[in-house]
Amino acid sequence: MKWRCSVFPCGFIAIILLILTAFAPAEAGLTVSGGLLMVNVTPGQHISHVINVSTEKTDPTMNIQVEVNGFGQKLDGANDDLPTKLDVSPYSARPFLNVTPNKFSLEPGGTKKILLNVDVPQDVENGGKYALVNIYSPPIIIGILSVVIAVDVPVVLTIAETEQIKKGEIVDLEISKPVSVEQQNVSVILKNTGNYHYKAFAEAVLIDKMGKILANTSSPVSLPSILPFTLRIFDLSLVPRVPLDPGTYYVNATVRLENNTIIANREAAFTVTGGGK
Amino acid sequence: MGARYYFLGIKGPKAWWLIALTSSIIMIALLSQASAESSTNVVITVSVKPTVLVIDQDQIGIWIIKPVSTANETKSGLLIVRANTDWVLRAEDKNPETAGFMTEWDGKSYGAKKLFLPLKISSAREVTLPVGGIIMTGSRTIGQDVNVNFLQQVLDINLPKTDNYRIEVTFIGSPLI
Repeated sequence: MKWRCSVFPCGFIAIILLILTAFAPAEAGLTVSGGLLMVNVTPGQHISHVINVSTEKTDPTMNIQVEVNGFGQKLDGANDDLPTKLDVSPYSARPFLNVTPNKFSLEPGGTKKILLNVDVPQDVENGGKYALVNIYSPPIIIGILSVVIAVDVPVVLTIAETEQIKKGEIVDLEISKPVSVEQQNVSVILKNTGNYHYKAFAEAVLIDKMGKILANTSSPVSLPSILPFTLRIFDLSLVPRVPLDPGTYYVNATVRLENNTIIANREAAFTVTGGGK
Repeated sequence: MGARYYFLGIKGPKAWWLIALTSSIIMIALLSQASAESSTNVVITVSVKPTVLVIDQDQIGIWIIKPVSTANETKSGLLIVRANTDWVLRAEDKNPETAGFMTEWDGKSYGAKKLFLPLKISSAREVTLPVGGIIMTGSRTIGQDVNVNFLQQVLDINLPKTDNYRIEVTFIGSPLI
């Protein structure tokens, strides 16, 4: 904690993210403090959150753009900033937010304060509400590349004293084809069907027709957290001790929360034929 | 943090002239060599901005691709992340004009011609543009180097030697939730 306060200014949620491109003409970077808003809120509450954006003296003058978007996630968990028309999640906080200013010029070594205003509606529903504030540099030309550096400020609002439902469904369980007799690669796609984000991991077990377990495996815990209304893929490899004989086999996949609670389970069958490889 | 304006031991503005001159010589030499090779060896020369030379002394800022091999052509760069929380870094191409593909560039605007396969970017993970994805995650750091590789496979063998191509890549850092 001492380190945190000595290296980075405190007073925010103490989050700063700086990206420098060492391949830029003059190294260019963005420093963003107040880089996360994660709070409990009540219906009708108003919050103001300060985000400071700054550059170094060696950076060029930059025209910075700030957008409020829906907080989607790609299958690998990467943030997906969703514009209004694509932001269809019932857990979106985007309509509650606005930023001022949303465009400005930042001189070398300068700092600009952005005010993020949150107005929670009276009739807000239970669970979590999510949005992204995206802060972009202009494109920096580096030979063949035009590089934009950007920082996402996640907004995670928890509606206080409401039920947080953490549940999910395995919407797809696929065994890679052609099926190998030595290693079975399995993709598990989970949908967060609850109303709150969570971290989870997946397990898979390979079973023969008699119910004998031939192999098992598990994934690391998902990073980042899985938001409600989003999908997450877990890639697993099952390696039986001996190559599989021709026959029918089953893969049983389970997804658990960090505390080991099972939230989803699904089974799929596959067949190894005589000439399987 | 300061830019490194050194080249072959020379510092300051003179280094730029030397770099530009050296780049031109190397480019001409490579193009001549390519012309002398099999007629199916089409060389794509991407535009050179001398300023790119601040990357490293051994990087000349031209990416010459011979589209006769199935191997990936690679180029590398460096990002630095500082964060006082767990973080995630992703790469994507948000520009609809390039949409993940190196696109013809006339010095001012993008044209219609694109390379056949999209650009890949790798660090701890490899992603394919334009969708991209997470290339690295990390924990709090006062400065972590993130080596980034750009991988391009070129199958088009009928492209003119004089074509220049460019792409827009967005690197986005975020606290991990």
